[in-house]
Parts: sequence; structure tokens; C-alpha cells
Amino acid sequence: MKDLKACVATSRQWKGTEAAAELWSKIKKGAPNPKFILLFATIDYKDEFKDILSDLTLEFKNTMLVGGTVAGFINQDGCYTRGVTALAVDYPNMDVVVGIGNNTKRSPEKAGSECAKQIKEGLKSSKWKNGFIFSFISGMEIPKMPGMEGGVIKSGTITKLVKGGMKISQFLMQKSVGREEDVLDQIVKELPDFGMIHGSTIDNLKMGKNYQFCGAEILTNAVVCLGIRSDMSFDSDFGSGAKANTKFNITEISKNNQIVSKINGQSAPSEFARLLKKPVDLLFDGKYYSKRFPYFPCGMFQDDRLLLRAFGLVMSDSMLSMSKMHAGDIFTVSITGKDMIESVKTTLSSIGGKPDFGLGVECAIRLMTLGPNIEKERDSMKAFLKERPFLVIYVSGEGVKKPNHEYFYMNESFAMTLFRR
Amino acid sequence: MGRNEEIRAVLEDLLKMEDVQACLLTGRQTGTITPGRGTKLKNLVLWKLIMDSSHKLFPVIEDFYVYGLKRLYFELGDYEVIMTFLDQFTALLVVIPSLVNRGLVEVEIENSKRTIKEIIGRQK
Repeated sequence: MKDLKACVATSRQWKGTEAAAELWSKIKKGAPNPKFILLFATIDYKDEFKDILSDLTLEFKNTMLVGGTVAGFINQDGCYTRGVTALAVDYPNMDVVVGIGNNTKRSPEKAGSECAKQIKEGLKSSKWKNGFIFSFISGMEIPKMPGMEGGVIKSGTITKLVKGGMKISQFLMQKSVGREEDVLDQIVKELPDFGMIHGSTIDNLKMGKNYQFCGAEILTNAVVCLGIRSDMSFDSDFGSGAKANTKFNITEISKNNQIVSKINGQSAPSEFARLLKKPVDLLFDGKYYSKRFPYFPCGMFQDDRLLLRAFGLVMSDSMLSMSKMHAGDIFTVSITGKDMIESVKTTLSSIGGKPDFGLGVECAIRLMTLGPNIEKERDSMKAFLKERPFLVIYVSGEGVKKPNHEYFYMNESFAMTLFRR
Repeated sequence: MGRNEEIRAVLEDLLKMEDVQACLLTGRQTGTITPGRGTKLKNLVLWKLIMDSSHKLFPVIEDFYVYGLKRLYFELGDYEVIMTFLDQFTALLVVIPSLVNRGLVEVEIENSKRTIKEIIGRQK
């Protein structure tokens, strides 16, 4: 069996040059000549990205590097919401290429297509059978508008302003929902036989600005993918711990399938509150909405798998879902912190096997909800993977795909891919 | 570096986080230790009150600690104060604005608490 070297490194140094030096020295010990590095940083380091990327790419000249900003991460070293982390892999039976697409919020189809074509072209001569993509796309960025504090807009006038303004801001400033699924649709169309794990980049959950990395480049509103062909096998699964409850119908929704105006023929916010058997004031509480909404997402089934959709914003007459709603039955969903933690164990068990390393993506909403209890998730990861390196990043939209299957796109979920020779 | 200096460095790191407005360590054996650059709170009278009175909570904390008290949260106007306990005599106190994502900050509060516990443990 060929020698595979994988390591995960962490730095908590504040200065970019020092963080890069610490990562570099740890990677040199674990995977001295990595074929690829996945690099993630919290937004605290936005003034240091340039130094971190240029120093690392100078040290690892022949290494492909992609990544972006995350709300936090878990690895063998600990749980962090401030720091920089890298997963580095060296394996001889592997070809690696990167792809980039720009303007994901303005032209997601074009961005996805461009990115996928670069990967397809780059790997066309590869002799290895198994294709896999690590995908990172710029997540939602909400323009700062008055009356939007706390995720609740009560005023009908401001609601109209926000809905109209978001279309303009999406085109002009690329401040809007991430449109990740529109990007991914193109990628999987070009590369149907590839597996995939996807995370949408995010800041510290303020939904202000997030960044993507490719080599020494710092990008915004981009898709960055690392494509591999290898004889390594991989397996992915996901879970949320949620349970579907009451079925309902979305009777009016925006063209992009994300702003829900009517549920069961009634105004969405009040009908949703009724279905939850909660007072409508629960939804319209600007002070507590952002703390409460993770506990009442909605869900829909795809191939018998429950996919969650969180309503990140509630307006006077509608609710904004963080991802697209699919046609078909929709359900209210219940989820507890305990179920969230348990879902990590369940997901790992369902993948099984003895991996060489693992990469997970988890919704930053779960990080926000669980806080320091994510330590319990780390315990599950360590118990399963033992000494083998793993990295879980906190993102704003998660996706997994098996080769020659449709992809699953979720919010409020945990997804993992385990790799083995 | 002395114990207090090491603890101060940990508090400085915590204070560098965008959402942390103020932090301190208070305890019977440590006294009150604050970061070198003080506080980001604009209301210094409030900060002085928090610094001067946090130790007054300990008689209550000590009673509840045996029952597994881990954290205290209280809302104070536009702020939230989080107290987490290293032991029944020592607490890390952090002030954040009330609408921020507390979960993210709490992860780093736990990391800071762990580091400070190690520092205090080493010096015994």
C-alpha cells in the first residue's frame, strides 16, 4: 500500500507571518511534500490573509492550496472560533488540480461552469479512477440596511425595501444569498462521476463579508474547488438530528425559491408560527430571534433523506430561507442540542471503516447554538478516528455528493467525508 | 513570565476578539486580574462596578458550585455578562453586547479558561 501522509495543523498566532510559520513547521513534520493543502481561517485574520497565503505558497511551491473563511473549526488540537487551520495531504497515487469561478452571486451558472471546466481539463489525462471535489463557495452576505437587526423586520415598508434592495445589491454589490446551489448544479453537470464535499464560506456569523483562497489569491464572491483523481476511496454521509413533524404547503415563493410568502394560503410568518404552535411574537422578537431560529428550521425529503432549511430572516409578510426550497412536501422540524451532538456520532457510524483522514463541514448555526458543547462532537470524532487526522469546518451551507448521484445540499447539518487507501 | 503576566496575556487575547468588550479573572487566590489595555466598554463607571463587585457573587456561587454550577449569565442593559468558573473560588468574567453570537465567543471563553487553569495549576 502506498504511503499516505496527512496532517492537520493549527495556529493561534495573531500575526500572519507567525501563523504561516507555525503551520508550515507543523505541516513539514506531518506531510513534508503535500500535494494539496486546504486552508481555513476565521475572519479575525482578514488583515493577515495576504501574509499567510504568500508565506505558505512560497514554502510549498508545488502544492495546490484552496480554502476560505470559516466561523470556527474542530480538529485533534481542539475547538476554536479564532485561528487558522490546514489539512495537508501527500499521496503518490493522486493527481490534483484547482478550479476557480468568479461572481458567484451575480452569475452563478457561469462561475460553476468555468470552475468545473478547469478541473475537467486539468484531470483529463489522469490515470486514477476515483474523482473527488472539495468545493468552497462564497456564502450569504447580507447588505446592511436599517431595520434588519436581529433577523426580524416588522415594518411592511422596510420589508418591501429589503426585498427590492436585495435584488439590486445582489447585482451591483454581490451582497445577497449565496446562490451556491446554482453554482453546484453546473459543477455536478460537468463532473457527474465525482464525489464532493462542499462548504459555503462565512465570517463570524455576522454575514458581512467572507473570503475564498486559491494559491496566494484572496477572493470574494468566488467558487474555489480542488479536484483530485486518485485510487483512494472515499465515503460521505450527513445528518442533523432533526425530526420531521407537521407537513405544510408553500403556496407562494419567490422565483429563486428562497423567499416564502405564503404557507397553506396564509401569510408565511403567522402560519409558520401557528404550525409550530407558538405565539407569532416568538418569531417577531428581534432580540431573541437569532438565538431561537436554529430550533425551528423546516425540512424536505430528497431520496428519503431529510434536508433542513433555516429561515435566517423573518419579514412582515415573508421568510427568507438560507437555501432553496424544493418542490414537494415541506415539514416543520424539531431539533435539540442533544440531537445535534448525537447526529455526529450517527453520521460517523454510518460511514464506518478505518479512514486515513477525514474532512467535515458543519453549519455555523450549530456552532452558534451549541457553543462550547461542540467539545462533545470533538470527543465523538476522536473516538471514531483515534489518532488519524480530521478537520471539521463551520460554514454557512453544507453539501455532499456520491459519484453518479445527485448532491444533497443542507443547512443546520453535519457532513463528513472519510478517505482511505 | 510570572503567573499574573501569563494570565493577563490570555485575557488580552480574549479581548482582541471583536465581540468581547471586557474580561477579567477574579478569585480569592488570584485577586482581580484584567487585560493590560483595560476594556473596550465605553461606560467606564459600569466597568468599575463590574470589577469592584464581581467577587461579591462568590458566597452564592460557592453554595451552588457543589451542585455543578458551570456558568452564570446575566443581561445588563445592552450587554450580557458571562461568568464561568475555574473552581468555586475563581471565575472568568466576560462582557459581550447582548445581540452577538454568544456560542462563538463561548468556545474561546472555554479555551481561555482551560489555559488559565493550566497556568494556575503550574504555579501551585
